[in-house]
Amino acid sequence: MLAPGAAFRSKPGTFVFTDLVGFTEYTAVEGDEAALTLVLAHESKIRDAVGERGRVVKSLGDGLMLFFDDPCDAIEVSLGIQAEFEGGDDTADLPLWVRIGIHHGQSMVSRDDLLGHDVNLASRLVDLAGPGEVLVTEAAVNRVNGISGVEFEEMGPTLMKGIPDPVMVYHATQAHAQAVPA
Amino acid sequence: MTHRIEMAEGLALCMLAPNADLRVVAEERADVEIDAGDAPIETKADPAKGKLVVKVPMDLRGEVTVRCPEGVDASIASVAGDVRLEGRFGEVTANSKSGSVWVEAATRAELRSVSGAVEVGDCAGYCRLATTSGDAKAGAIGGAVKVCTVSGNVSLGSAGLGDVTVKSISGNVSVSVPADARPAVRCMSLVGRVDCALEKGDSFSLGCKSVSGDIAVVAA
Repeated sequence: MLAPGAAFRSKPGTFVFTDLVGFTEYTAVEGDEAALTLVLAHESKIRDAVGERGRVVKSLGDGLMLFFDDPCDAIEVSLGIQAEFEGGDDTADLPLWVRIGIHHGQSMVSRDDLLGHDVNLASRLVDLAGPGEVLVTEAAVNRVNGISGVEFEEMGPTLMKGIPDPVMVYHATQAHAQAVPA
Repeated sequence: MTHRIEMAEGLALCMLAPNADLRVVAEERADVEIDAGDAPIETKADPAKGKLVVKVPMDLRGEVTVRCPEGVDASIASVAGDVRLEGRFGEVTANSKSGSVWVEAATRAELRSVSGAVEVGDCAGYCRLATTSGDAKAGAIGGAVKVCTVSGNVSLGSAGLGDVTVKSISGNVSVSVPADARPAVRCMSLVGRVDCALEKGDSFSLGCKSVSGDIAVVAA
């Protein structure tokens, strides 16, 4: 713990929270061992997707906090995670749904952890997301002008507990490939 | 006290009402009327963003009634209040953390709550509903629909004119489609029962997945 009055270091970046949806229900149905296997598989897939483009700040039990310098990386990696979890085969990995919230702003560095209002906001945002969704704040969307292969759909303003101002939120999805005329 | 605000054509109504129960009535009129008792209401027309923004104070926990032109687009943000939209609206987005959201009719709807229920009676086009523990319900959907929930139950009436995608963890799912619809059905539940007596085809995609909820697809 830092001593009172110690200088904190501010760090801008993009904060991503992932949450494995329905973990409690899955544990009740399949048991602790299967649930632990699921959590480890979830973490492994996300760590692989993040690679060198960002870092896993910490594990939150059935979710992870991630950090990226570049919001484009944060969004692309998050959509990659969803694509991986959705899978091409409808019968595979059924319970592995995640929801993801992304926000860009400032944080204070505390050892390996990141703290602050913008981190809290990203954490709140993931609560609003449904299984399979990637929600992104306007602050992050405004920094990724021209990102290719991604569509943003306005979800409207949101009010979050403990966050005084409304936050404009968008869905991020993979852009559908344009059909090439024959 | 009643506030009356001129509403330029083409503006959308944006309501920020953290804790008040909000009743918005779309009717034949050109202006917007707000009844919030003695509470100070902030309003601001923002033509650049195409919005008329109405802010209800954080500490107001009573009911606020808003009357607006029929067919207007509306975006509503709440934390703990219930949201009720009566009449016919254009595109609607509404979200609350613990309040319920109910919309009578919209051309397009995106409704979201964490612990409250979300419901749209009639949605002419695309519809997206998301909850954690609240139920999600849509009476008649003319376009594609996406629903995701954790423990809430899902009840949908699809006209068969767009794809249907439902994800539920433990909530039960019921989807009705026209009797002559021939969707490409992909329904599965890890431990719940799946019941689909429809003849299958490829007129639209109907996909429902759940961990422990039952899934029923029925002909209307």
